[in-house]
Amino acid sequence: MRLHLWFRQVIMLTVYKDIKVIFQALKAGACGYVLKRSDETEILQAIAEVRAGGAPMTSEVARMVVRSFLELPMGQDETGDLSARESEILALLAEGLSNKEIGTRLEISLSTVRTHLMHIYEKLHVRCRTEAAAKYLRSMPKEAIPVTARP
Amino acid sequence: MESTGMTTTIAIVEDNATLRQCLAEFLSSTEGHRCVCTCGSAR
Repeated sequence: MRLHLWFRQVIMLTVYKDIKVIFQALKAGACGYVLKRSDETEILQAIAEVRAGGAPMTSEVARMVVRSFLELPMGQDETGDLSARESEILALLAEGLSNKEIGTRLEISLSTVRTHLMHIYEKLHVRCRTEAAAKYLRSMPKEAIPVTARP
Repeated sequence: MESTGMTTTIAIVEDNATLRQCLAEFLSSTEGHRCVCTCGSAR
């Protein structure tokens, strides 16, 4: 999804540290990516930085972006066709959350989660959540994989 | 987000209503910022 908004600048303020979501947000037009754990001062600094022409990122996120260029194997991005929402759901699925838990976390209905999962399976050419999670984890830099999802 | 003179106008898209309100109140109370829109979804 391209951020065709009337705003001139968009800052993502989010809890998601998923490298796929980060890249999708940036590709969609976001010029900043700040984690919600940032304090008030950091949020104001991010706004000021964008206004000054910068691209503010929480340092942890900036490091992940830099590392991804060094470590992500070329041609192995199997989840690139997913929307931002689908990537969020896939990341939560890979963390081991059930459909109900994903719905609760994202504040969407169970049927919406199922619909997203169907689209994810189609795009990834997989038949079940386990295959989807495996494909997702294979596409991720090691540092970006949640500790709970590592073998 | 858009800068108009010395004021930065801000729109907040946040699905958590409590956080959305807190951000709006915080930013509106900060000099040089004006929250002009809050919504729960970009769709």
